[in-house]
Amino acid sequence: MSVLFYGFLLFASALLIHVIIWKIHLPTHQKTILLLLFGGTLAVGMILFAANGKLINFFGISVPRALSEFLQLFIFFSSLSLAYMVTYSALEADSPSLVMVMAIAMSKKEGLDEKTFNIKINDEVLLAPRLKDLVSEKLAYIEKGKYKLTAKGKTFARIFFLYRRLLKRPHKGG
Amino acid sequence: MYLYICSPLIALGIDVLCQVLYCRYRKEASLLMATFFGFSCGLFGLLIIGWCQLQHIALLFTDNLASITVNLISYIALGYCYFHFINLGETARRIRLLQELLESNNGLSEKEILERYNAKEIIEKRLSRLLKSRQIIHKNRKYYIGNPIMLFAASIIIFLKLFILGRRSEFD
Repeated sequence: MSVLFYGFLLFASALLIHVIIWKIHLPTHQKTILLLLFGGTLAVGMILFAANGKLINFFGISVPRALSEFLQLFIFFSSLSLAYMVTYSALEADSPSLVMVMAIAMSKKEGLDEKTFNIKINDEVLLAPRLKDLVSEKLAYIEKGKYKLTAKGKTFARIFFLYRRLLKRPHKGG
Repeated sequence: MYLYICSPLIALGIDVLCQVLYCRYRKEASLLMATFFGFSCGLFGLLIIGWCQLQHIALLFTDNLASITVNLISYIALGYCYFHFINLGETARRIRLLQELLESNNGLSEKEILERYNAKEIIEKRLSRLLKSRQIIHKNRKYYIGNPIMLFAASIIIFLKLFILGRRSEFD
């Protein structure tokens, strides 16, 4: 019971700190800060439990004490944090499918005609921001007007390329 | 004991392995079906390990239940992350752009990139998926909302964007 309760408590604390910081000031390197924040909360929580275990007792539930409980807490908290972080990345950028669905939903019962649809959703909306992202995240750089991959970008591209081959998926996604 | 503690990670391994095998050895395997198959196999593995281990541990029923719940939630969260990874390779524009750049020897200008991958292709692919799953309907050269699940998901994401980031869209 202690891992479930204190795992959720730590995760809720990290989420709360994250929302408070984001409300005060939106960080420039959001993913890095998020990673540090969740990692830091877990580390501080585990140190507190290990050092002051006998003093902490909510609703009669004692904190994790055994090594196996700490390991389970680590896996539990890390899994929840990773799941939140991948969801967060979906919040940062506008998903084309969601943009399309919302554009259609805004037209209500009248429906959205094909022409308006194509005017609203174009290269400027769908691709220009993602190209900027590649450069800002140091996955690519611009040289003489051409986009080129950095070593980090090449590694990323190869991982997905190989995994798609492993799953026998068509050559390119997108 | 440690096998049981690490069972969400083992279950994730089973999930990945089963999904890869399903995709490789089943003709015309749908990625969604493969994902469900892999996830179900991992879940089965998780429950088997849990059942075997808890036979040997003398804990209270509530502690057993809580421990299984922890592992179950951990596995679901890890499975969700893996699904997201697969989905990135399948639909993410950034990954497709990286692939286009990887294939070019001397890099690509913005114009050259747009010749290979553009809004037209992105829209066509997504329209096809949305029409196929009846999330949207095409009638008399107009689009309408069909099944509102995607609209519901979009509304949740917009709510979260407003709550956390304070904006509806990245262009606000």
